[in-house]
Amino acid sequence: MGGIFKNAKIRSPQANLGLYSLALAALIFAWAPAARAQEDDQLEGINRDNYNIKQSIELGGRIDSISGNGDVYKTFVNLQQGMRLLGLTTEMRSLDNHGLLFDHLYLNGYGYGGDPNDVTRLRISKNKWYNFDVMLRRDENFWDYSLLANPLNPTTGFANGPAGFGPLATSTCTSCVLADSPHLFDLRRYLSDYSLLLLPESRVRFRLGYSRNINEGPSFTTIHQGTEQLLFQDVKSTVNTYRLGVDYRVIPRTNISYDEIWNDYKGDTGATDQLQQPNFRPDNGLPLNIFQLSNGTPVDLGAAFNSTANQPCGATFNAAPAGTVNPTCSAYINYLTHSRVRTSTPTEQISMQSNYWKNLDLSARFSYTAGSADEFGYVEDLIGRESRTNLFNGQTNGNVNGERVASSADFGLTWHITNSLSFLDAYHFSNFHNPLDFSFSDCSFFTANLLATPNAFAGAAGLPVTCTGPPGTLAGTPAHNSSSAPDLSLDVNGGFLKQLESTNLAEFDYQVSSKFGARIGFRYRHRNIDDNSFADNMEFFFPSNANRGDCALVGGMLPAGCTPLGGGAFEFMTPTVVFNPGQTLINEYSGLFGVWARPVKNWRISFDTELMSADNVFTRVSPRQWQEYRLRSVYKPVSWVNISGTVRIWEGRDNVTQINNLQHDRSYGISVMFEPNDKWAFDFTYDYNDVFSQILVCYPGTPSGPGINKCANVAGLIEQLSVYKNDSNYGGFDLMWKPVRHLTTHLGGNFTGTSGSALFLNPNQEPGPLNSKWLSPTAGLDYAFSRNWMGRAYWNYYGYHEDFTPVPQDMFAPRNFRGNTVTLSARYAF
Amino acid sequence: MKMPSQLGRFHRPSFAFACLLASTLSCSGLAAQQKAAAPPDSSEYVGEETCKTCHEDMPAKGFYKTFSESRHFVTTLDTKKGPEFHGCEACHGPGKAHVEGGGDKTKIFTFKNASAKDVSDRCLKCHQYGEEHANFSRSVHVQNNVSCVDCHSPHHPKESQFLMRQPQPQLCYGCHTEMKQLFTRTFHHRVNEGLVRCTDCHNPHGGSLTRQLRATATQDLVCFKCHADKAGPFVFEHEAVKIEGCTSCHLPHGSSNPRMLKRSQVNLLCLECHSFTVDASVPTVPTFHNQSQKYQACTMCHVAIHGSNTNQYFFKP
Repeated sequence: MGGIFKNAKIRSPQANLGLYSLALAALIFAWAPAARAQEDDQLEGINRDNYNIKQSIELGGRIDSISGNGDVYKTFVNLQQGMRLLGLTTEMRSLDNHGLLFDHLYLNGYGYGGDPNDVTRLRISKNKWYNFDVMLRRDENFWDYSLLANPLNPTTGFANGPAGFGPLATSTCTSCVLADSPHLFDLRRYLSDYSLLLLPESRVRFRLGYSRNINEGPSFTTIHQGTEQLLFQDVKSTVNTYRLGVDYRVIPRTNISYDEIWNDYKGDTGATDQLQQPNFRPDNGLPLNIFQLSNGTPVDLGAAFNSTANQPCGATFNAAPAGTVNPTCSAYINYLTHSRVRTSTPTEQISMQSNYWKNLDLSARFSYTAGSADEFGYVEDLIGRESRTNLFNGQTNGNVNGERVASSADFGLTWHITNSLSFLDAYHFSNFHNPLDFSFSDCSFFTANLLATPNAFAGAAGLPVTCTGPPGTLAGTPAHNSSSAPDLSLDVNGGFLKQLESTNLAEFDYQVSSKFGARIGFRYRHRNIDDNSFADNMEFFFPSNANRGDCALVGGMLPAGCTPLGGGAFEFMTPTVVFNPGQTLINEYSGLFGVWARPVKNWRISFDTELMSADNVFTRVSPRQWQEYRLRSVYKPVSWVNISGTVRIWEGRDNVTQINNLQHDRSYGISVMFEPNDKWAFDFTYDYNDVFSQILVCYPGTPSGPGINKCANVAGLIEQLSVYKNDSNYGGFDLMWKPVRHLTTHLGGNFTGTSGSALFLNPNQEPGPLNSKWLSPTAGLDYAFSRNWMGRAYWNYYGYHEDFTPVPQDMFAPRNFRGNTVTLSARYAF
Repeated sequence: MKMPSQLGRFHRPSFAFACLLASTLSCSGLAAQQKAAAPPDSSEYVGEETCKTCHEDMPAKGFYKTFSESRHFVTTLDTKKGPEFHGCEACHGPGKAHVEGGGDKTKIFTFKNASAKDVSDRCLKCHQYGEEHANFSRSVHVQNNVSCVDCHSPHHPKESQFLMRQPQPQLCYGCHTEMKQLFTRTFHHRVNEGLVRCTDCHNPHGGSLTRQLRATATQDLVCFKCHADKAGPFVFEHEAVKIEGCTSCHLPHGSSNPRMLKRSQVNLLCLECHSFTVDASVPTVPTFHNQSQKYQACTMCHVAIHGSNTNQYFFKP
């Protein structure tokens, strides 16, 4: 274009006018809607052996550069370097609709070779004979966001601590700060869904389905016993669901279905203490087995280190030998737990759909589930010390037995009273109850400290269970204190949770005209909740200090249920203790109203609202009243412009005394899309989300600062109004431009800025995600070398940033990262 | 010791349901005196080959070819049902008057300006049956005048599997704009990545549960289809999970908070329920849990927070 204007100074006015007209025409042409360039769905494919075949495959690789917190990058994004099969598609269609084995085949997949998610979809069908659908999904779920389950250890040093661990009370212990979440995991989830429909168009149809869901991988967890121990957990759970169904078209437009569904769950997760050291940062240079007793035995002190709060204990380390662990401190030497959870729930379901009668649509469904829920071979073996009770070794063995019973029903009716007026009613009923009990035996051995060996009492005969102590146990008198648990206990703990729920929605819909309609309705929901539990105990208390726990003397007398066993031991048998808080009844009443309008052909607006009031709630955060308002608008002034907007407001409250709960969640969004032709397209979205909640909380804490009151009715507790605010601004755009015929460029991104505040109870807490930014711009280009070949190059940036505060967790373990990923690929399609 | 059996209560709801169904059917039996629609006059149908003579490349090039390659073309092969179930006229109605009128658009059914009800009636003539579409006439979509062709395009699908105008989730974002920003948050269900689809959890064709949520095969929360280890049942239940649902603590679409929790700090979330009040029916925080000094993270100790078989305080699974 530049050359045309080169001699503009000497050109005649008429020539200039012509040039401007040409430019204007070109601009209009560029904006005018035009036919799109061929895309995959318009490729011809090849015809072979009575099939039309279309395929595409995209091979490539990723190169990335990550700085900052790599684990948080893996948690949010997890795109790593390497070769990839980025996508493949195969579509086959029989030319005469009489293929041998199938008439249609559709296969689509992406993400193979190392991406965190890969998905494969397959659909095969043969007209009138079968439809077969398969979906296979894999999810690499790495999760390590350090703030979760983090004790937020301060950097205050420990007197006599080992080298590298803040060896003085006045030193700084940066190793105390946990850079990883104690609950991090690296799991893989495999989801497989298969569905076969036989004779889809016949009067009788058969359905077979199978789903498999596997979740497995290494993880960390914690346990509170003595201290907060970090455990290695090998997660493995599998769910298999089998489904067999038959549909029968009884009369025209009426169908009855029966399904038999069997759901089988297996949980085989166990945990061990592999003497995890408290610090997960690979760069700390701390030696292995940093914590040892004076005899060289390595111990695990757990995850919580706060010398000011005596965590894990007061005087954690000895002055001599220097840096060794105080043997009276709570610590673990070894830990193991494992069990097999097996839940089997067969379900029968019958359903019906009918619009046989001219103005009536009916549907109904009823299902019944009665299955077993068991846990076999539960084992827990702890060797270490719980200082509060002098426990050295605890062995638990038991089983869980129970049931899962549920029934549910739905009934729906739409009566088209006139062409404009309809009445609809939808009823839902559900009832579940889960009675289960855990029967177990508990053998406990006690010592005064970690260096001592436990003693096994032999003075009581006829015990129902023989307890064998850990290696090194000697015959003698156990070293109990007044808080020690029974030496042997046999327990049955049971729970029973039940809910009966029924909901009915009745509504009138009126279509005033082809441009306007309204509806009004009423929903009633009733819930009846019952939660019982019971405990049955048989306990044996050996000397020393045999009169402890349930056999502690009351006014110098043995309490009821306690009987001497001889040798100074006592047996306690309790009558079954039943805890029955009574039923919770909740009735909810909602009014519904909605309108829709199409003022002009290309503009749709809808508004609906629901206003709910309840006479009771189940939790403090469940609102007694809530209102929801939703306004949506979609406008297409021309075929290549689409403008949509949404306003969604939810307000809730339970503002009774001592709760004072107010909540809202408001969202306002707009999206604009331009697609005038195949040369360029642009879309832009903006959304603002405002979340607020306030509620009175009452908790034990150290009162300080203005506005903090003592908790009503309970001394020693403080009460505050917990206010949570979270405002989020989101903007996203995508620009596609084809400057020349074979080249397509892309530019886009998503940007989320979050700001907020919350009640902080501890000086080491930080806002974390409340004040953060999450950016992911992208740019790329596609170059079509030929009709079938395309090269692609894309750059993606991922940036996460949390506002810095001077607390230890932000100073020594920030969660920010920056990641650049370049993806290069070649795509072939026909 | 076994718990008292509650089985007897089962029969009540099923009996009530049966009564309800029977009464409805008997009431509608009165409506049965109103006969079902009379079968159409087959002479009014012309067959898809006649349609092809004009519509092979109209309104767009390859228009008929697209139809012949789609799943709907199967209807032309049927030999048992009447012409009202075959080809173009299965959706657009009898074409004779349209042909004789020289292509008069008023003489045939067009979807472009039809009401949602009229459109859905056409589609549901064949697609009514099965759990997926059984409640469409009661769905929020059709109540807001969103019809089948707002999401599906029999002639110009971008996704051929279910003849969708656009693949998920872009299709859903077209109206549910507020969801896009949630799935773009740092902690989110992998919808934008394609691992999870909107229809995995919601039934766009209607359902009996709030938000048209699906349920598992055993009629439990849909979350448990993937998060099966949280389903239990457990000896010691965290009642809020089973009674109020996962959304009492989690935001299911996406959140800036870890584990998609409603609050940025776990202990703030827990304290909102587990606080000392006169009428508190849940366990409250014991006095040795000084929130100012330590115990900042409740779930560091109460790890089995969705329920436990072995410990009433959820210290162990």
